[in-house]
Amino acid sequence: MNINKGNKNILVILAFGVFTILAILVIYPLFSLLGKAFISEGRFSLQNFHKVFITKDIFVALSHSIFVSTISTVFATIIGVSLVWIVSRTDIPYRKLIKTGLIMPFLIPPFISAIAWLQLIGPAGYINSIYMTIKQTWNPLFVIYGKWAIVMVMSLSGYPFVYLTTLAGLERMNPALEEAGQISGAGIFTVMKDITIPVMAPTIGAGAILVFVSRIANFGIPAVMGMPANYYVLTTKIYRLIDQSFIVKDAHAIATAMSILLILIAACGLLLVKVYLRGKEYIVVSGKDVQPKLVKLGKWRYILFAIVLSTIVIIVVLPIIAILLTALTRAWGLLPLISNWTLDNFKYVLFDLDMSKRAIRNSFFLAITASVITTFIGAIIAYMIVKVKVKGSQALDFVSSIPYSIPGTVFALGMIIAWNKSFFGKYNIYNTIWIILISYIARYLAYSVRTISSSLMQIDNSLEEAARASGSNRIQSFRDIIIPLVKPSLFASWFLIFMPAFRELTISVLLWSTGNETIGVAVYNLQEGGDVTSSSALAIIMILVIFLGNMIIKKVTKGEFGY
Amino acid sequence: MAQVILKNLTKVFDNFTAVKNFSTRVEDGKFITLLGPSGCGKTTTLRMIAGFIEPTVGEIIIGKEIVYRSKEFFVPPENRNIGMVFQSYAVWPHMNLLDNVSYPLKIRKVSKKERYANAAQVLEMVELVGMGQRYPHQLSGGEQQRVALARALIVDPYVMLLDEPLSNLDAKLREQMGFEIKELQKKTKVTIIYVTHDQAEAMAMSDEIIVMNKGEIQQIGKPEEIYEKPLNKFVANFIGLTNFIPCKVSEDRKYLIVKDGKGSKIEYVVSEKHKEEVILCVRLEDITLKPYDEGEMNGQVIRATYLGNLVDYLLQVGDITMRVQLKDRRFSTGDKVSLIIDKEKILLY
Repeated sequence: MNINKGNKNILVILAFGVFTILAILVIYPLFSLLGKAFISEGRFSLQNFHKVFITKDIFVALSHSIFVSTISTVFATIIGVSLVWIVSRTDIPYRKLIKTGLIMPFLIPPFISAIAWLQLIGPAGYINSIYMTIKQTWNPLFVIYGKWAIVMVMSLSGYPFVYLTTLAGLERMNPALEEAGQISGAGIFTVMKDITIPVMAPTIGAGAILVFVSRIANFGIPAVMGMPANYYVLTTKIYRLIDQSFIVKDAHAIATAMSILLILIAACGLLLVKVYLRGKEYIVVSGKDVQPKLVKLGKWRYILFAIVLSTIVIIVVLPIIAILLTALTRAWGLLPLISNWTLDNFKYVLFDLDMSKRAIRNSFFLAITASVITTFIGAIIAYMIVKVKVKGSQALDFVSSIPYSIPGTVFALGMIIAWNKSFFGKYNIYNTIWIILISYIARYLAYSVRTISSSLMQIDNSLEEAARASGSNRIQSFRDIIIPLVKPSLFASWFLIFMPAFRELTISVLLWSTGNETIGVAVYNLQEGGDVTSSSALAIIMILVIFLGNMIIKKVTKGEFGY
Repeated sequence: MAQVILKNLTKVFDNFTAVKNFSTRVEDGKFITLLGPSGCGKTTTLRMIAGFIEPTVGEIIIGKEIVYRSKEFFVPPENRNIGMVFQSYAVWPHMNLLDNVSYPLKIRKVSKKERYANAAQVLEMVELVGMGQRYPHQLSGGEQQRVALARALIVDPYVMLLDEPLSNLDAKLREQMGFEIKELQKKTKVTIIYVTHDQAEAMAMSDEIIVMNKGEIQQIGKPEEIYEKPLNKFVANFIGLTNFIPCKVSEDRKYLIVKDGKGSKIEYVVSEKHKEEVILCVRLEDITLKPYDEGEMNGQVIRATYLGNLVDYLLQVGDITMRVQLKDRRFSTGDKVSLIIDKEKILLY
């Protein structure tokens, strides 16, 4: 590509700008984190890691993390794969409805699921209350708290990862592979066992990794269901340590060591699956062959449909109803009879409570600002990677994705250590809303880089070259050719960042301060403080905004993005 | 003994009839081909025989068993004891060659030792000796196809079904594999039903060809019959290259009057079964050219294309155009010529 002097200067400035931004957003916090972990009393040492292993409750938290993540991954995989089979290999009726229903858990922030489940099946939850009222007893039907509650909610909110990856893979698999099995004499279930599942193993494995890594990094579920019962995992323990950093010596240092461990465990999970799958990268893209044969369920058709539908209702609808009921009830503990219904809780969080009003404002501000800035930066980085092809594009891509790949808790910790100091004598962004904003920008950068990159890659170079041949310079061709063509992905990127930024908890729970609450933090705090009706009302508002946003994304991108 | 008998096989999808009243008998050890253009129903028919599509009406008998009779029974594919080679080969990527080929025996509960021995034997037959431990991704397209063949053969099936197995190969390999499949069939004496849209393939390999169009059988016959005595215009057009010349029959039925604006007359006795208007069909190679003299048909060369082994001449004969393919290279564009039609090869419709 012939770049004339003027253009070259612009590119150099851009490259420099991008490098500086990434250095501030990603590299600096990362190194602060590493520095804190590996330095004790002024020099390199593994003291902090040592402390992690000898401190009983920290070590226990480590084992808890591995336990709940692994078990819930197993459950999520079983649930996800079974559902994929039902949805794409049987003639179950109302397939589309089921498919939409099954992905709903993705829309609800896991911590809100946890709150909802507590309200449903917790010791003082609806099911137990109804049981206790009917049976006239003080003993609840079941007590679910701690590890099994965490595993349950993690499985139920995590299976969509496996479900979606496996579904996409199965729909791409050549059905002739299964037909060849049938011709060879194998019945439907033997074909599944000997052919479909082994061929799909790499895809299922990929989905399982996604679940594992996201569960081990999760804060909300163990926070809501574990901490009250004194059951800690790594993320909640790190949170507790930072909370008590005034009391515990070297709290931050230990927390960083734990963070590194957390990253290592996630990486190990990834590695294990990669090793298991080595050499099994099957390219099974469909040939000219036909639709796969569906298992005819016969009389079981409607029975299975009823089972699946009730499962969806239980997994998705019931928890929301629980939260909705609580939001509408005058006070927690009262039975959700219509006579007890009121809109006061909504009125309270929307108009009366300063904290929640602030939180709503803050979340919108953060989500909108972050998505605009991140889309802008991401677009430049994507352009550098895809079109300009600067040296080290791979590194650029990798660095942009780091804040997203590491657990949110770890990233937040890195931000604390990096920014909890005064710059130029008086500027300290810690305890302001700006540290949250910067965290969001760094965290979601990968989204915009990926989305815009893939859109840019589809724009053949010849389009720009034709413009240049027609006489326009690089900036004009960028404006007239590139921008119009990537507009959709710019919008997509905006939405893809707005949604998670709005509903986020894990990072803001560590970075907030009075006045800078996000809506997630507000719900969490109200919940922890015992104001269950208000937290539920706020949660319902959150869910409404999320569902609405999702519908808009689907509409605007014509179904390409959104659930 | 017929290995496969199809009676009135019909398949209707919603409003569309894909196959209509398909009936035939396939004798033991024969190689028969379903030939036709895209959408003619040949693959649908094959898949009904395999059991992947349930017919609307009809009867299918494989070996001596009725595997399908409308409203009475339907035997699923896994119980029909047939072999099938798919267009994409469908060789399982997670199994090595020995496991792939021996899988049908595994299902039939044959011991490991025995089925591996059998598999090795069949692999030898398809010339993949010693490659049992390899995996499909290490093989070329042609080699993968041989694995598919071996796997289909190993159970000594009643019939082997091949669904356009050569279309994913390049031209040279296609020819070679075609001959190899034919050799294999001669050696093993297995009954084959083969589907293709390529008439050259069909002609080269089949004992019998069933030409299909729009779901219906157009003609069943040996390759020579299909080529030399096509029963209707469709078959005449689909196989080989043909001239279609509209003509009127003379009053005394002893001449064909060509509708070329010049009234050229061709001496030919027309049987009673034809009406006054007929289409005269003659293959491109059944016409010779000589330098102009007052022959029955005369015209001018408007294009001569050198094809290497032949020359393809496009001729203007009065109002109509005709094509001739000859080794004779004498003529060039603009030459006036006479056309001599081999009367024995004339087909009238």
